Amino acid sequence: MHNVIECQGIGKKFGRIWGVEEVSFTAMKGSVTVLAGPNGAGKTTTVRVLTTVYKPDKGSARVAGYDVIREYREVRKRISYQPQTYGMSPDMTPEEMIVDNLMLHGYSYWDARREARKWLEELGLYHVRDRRGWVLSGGERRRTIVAAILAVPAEIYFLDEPTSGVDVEGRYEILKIIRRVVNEGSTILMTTHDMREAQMIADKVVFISKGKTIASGKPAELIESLPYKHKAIIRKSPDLRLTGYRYVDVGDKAIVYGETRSEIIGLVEELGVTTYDLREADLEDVYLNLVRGGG
Amino acid sequence: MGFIWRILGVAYRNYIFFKRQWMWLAQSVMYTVGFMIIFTLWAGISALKHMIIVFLITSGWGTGLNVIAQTIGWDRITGEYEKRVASPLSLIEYLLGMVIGNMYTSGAVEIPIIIYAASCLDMDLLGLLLVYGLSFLATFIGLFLSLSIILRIKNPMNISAVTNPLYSLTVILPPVFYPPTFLPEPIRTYCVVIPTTALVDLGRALTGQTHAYPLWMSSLSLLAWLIIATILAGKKLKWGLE
Repeated sequence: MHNVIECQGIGKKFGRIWGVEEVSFTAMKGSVTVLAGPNGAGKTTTVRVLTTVYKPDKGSARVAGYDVIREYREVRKRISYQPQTYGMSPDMTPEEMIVDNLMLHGYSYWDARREARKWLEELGLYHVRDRRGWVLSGGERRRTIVAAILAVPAEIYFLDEPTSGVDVEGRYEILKIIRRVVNEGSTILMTTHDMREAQMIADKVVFISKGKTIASGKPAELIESLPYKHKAIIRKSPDLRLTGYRYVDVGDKAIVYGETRSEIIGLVEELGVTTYDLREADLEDVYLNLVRGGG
Repeated sequence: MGFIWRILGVAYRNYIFFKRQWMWLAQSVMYTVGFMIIFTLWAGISALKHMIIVFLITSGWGTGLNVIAQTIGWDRITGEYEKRVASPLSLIEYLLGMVIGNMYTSGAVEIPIIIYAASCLDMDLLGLLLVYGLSFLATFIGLFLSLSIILRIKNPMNISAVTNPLYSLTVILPPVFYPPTFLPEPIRTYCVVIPTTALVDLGRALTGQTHAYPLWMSSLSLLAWLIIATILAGKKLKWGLE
């Protein structure tokens, strides 16, 4: 498998401020790569550079083997992009939304309709295919958007927060279809704030913070790289002092970290906490460790 | 064939909007018929002939300046624009799709009424066809002029608050619904620099009606507007790589 996205030190300036300063990563063909990071980290700007919406002010990027500046037309022929702000028109039906996007990629109306019906069935939207956007649930609207983007036969799909505002069931439907598309040989680059989702779906996670890549790798490798493996979620009492411990403050609760299960039980007992929730460290802890310096 | 379907794809989305929001079309018909009655009753057949030209031109102008410009502005806010940028669709295809989708949908109800009225008045149908072509020019000048303004607004959340007054400024106030010949000199001659005035006057000339300016003067004015508006809009309307 070869890299279909190669991003080398890209930067994008807005006035005098760098929206993205130094982002580098690669994505392999037939994989899901997740861009993760806090709001304003530069995830959307990075996606916009890779989809040729923005021109980078420094660095270079290749998508599907083509340079995003010099060969942007070739890039655009090979991608399908769901922007973060892209929503379903209240006046359009799911079928019309998918047909509209397929025609944009050169499908005839009739071929687009045939293809749209196939995708509506796969995403469980066939029964609402003729209903207008404003009467659909938030999850149905979001699934329609994802169906419209994935229905296009592209080499690489860019999905900017595809599961935002979707309930658990709808989210799993979307993740399932994303994995299916990837298993058929396409590549997906998506952004998300949800680390559990990233851990479940990603083959590779790229953490971006303040416009820079701060870590990347397989979810399991990133979790393995943490200096601790276990955590306890505890309720904080007013006189509880956590100075000297590895912890993340969550208001009236805190997450305390330890290397082993026995170590963390010892730590919690030392703190005099009787009620706690013991868990293994996960990708969310990698995020907190990288972005907030947790632990 | 791909490029044709891409253009029709853009038009399709606009067509659906009009299909669902059909009251806009109903309003358009009422506006056209109402004004025809008003002008005929107050000023007779010659006023109605003048009105037919005005309707064809202002329909194209309003579609470009107001409807399409608002749709493009809205596309930029909702993410539709960047989704289209990151696709094989080109800027020319996008604009053509917008014009077809809006012009033909709204024109589909207005044009038959106008043609019927024109044939009742024995107006030159070839001349009318040329005026219809002129209304496309009006669409593009109006669109580029509008875009050159709205794309310079930092936070364009209420685009109609800009395009509606701009429409009134270019259609209601200057000699468009009334001929420039009613104005005294030198104001009459100066008014040729107003694009809508030049468009309607040229339309009158093409249908053999009394017109205020020589053909070269109104044509020159329109050519200048087309170049200026295209340059101004072109500086702001980027198709990706922004």
